[in-house]
Amino acid sequence: MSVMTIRVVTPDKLVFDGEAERVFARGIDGDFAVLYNHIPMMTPLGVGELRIEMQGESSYVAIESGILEISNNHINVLSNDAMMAEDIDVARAKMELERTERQKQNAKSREDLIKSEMEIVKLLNQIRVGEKK
Amino acid sequence: MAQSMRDIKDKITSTQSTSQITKAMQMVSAAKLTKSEAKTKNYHHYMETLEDIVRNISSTSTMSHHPFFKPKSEKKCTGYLIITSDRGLAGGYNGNVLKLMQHEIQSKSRDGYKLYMIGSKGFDYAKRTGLKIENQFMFVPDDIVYQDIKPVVDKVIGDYMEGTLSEVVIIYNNYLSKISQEPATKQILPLIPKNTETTKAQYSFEPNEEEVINAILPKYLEGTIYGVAITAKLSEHASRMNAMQNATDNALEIITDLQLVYNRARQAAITQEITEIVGGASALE
Repeated sequence: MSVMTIRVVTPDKLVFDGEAERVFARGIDGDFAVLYNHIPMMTPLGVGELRIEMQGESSYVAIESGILEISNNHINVLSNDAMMAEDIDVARAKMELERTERQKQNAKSREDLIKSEMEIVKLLNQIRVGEKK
Repeated sequence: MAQSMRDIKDKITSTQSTSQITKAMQMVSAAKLTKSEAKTKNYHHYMETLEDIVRNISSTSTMSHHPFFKPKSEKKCTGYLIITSDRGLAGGYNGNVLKLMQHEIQSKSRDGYKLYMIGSKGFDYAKRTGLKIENQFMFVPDDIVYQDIKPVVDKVIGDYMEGTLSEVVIIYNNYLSKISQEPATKQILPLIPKNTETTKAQYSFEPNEEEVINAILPKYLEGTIYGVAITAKLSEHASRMNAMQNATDNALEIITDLQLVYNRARQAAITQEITEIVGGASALE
């Protein structure tokens, strides 16, 4: 099977740089998969997981929105915040989640409410992906 | 004897302890500088990829009509984003940036500009001089991450999109090398279109062109601002390192001078004592 190269980058670090046979991602309209020889494409990503499959093994990355670009069998994933499942501290994320949920209940403005809701979605995603390692 | 020996000795001791502190600070800054350099490198991976993508889509028509390229605002109002540090003892780091800011706003009318500040030194300065800052107080931690500056970036972009601002300029210290940093301005909005000779591939956009561009451009802008912020941080460490290096050198020079004065004073005291003894002895004869 032919392989593609894939790179996941955030402004702070290079999260993943390697090869993949299949890549599954969550777009803003739903999940999709990328296989070898995909046409050049650009699409925004939602909050979700990115699954990178190589020789029967899967790596998981938690993505907090981003962009996926593919051309010439090379995939670039840009995200403000992306974490490998191995790097996620699930216990800490759960604590953060509790704290944010409290914050949400005490939210004074609409803005605060939206902010904490977004944070909760992000943390839930991290926990879900983190538990897959 | 101009000064007593004890006074000089005290001065030497205090200068020595000062030099120890400045030396330590220099070493801390050097370590932080190395760390920041590594971060800048990581950031370049991100920005290169992002720039590639932007170049690939910049030929599309939706792109050139995006408000990031054409400001909504009719009246001219420049938003200045000024990056200062949280702590002092960094040589001319903050002074230079603030001087450049004063120079920039001098020629503008009171409602021709708005100021956005990063770093507590800048806020102190604004308070002293009575300048109005649009955003809320914010620190710049040493190991700055993207999320730290997001609030102010969101505010600036928001104001621009609302039409309050017609352009956005960052004032910061540019990092030229370890020994040279200079204050600089960088226009970030409206974006200046890049020439598009090398379009790699014809992309398909999912779900559509507009959505993709709306997702990418803010990221590109945020990325650029973040890049400036980490460059400024790099300059801060380098600037502090140099300032402390100079302070240490000066302290050592002062110590050498004082040591000389001290030795002379000591010698003078001995000579005087001998003269007195000799004088006393000859008086007895």
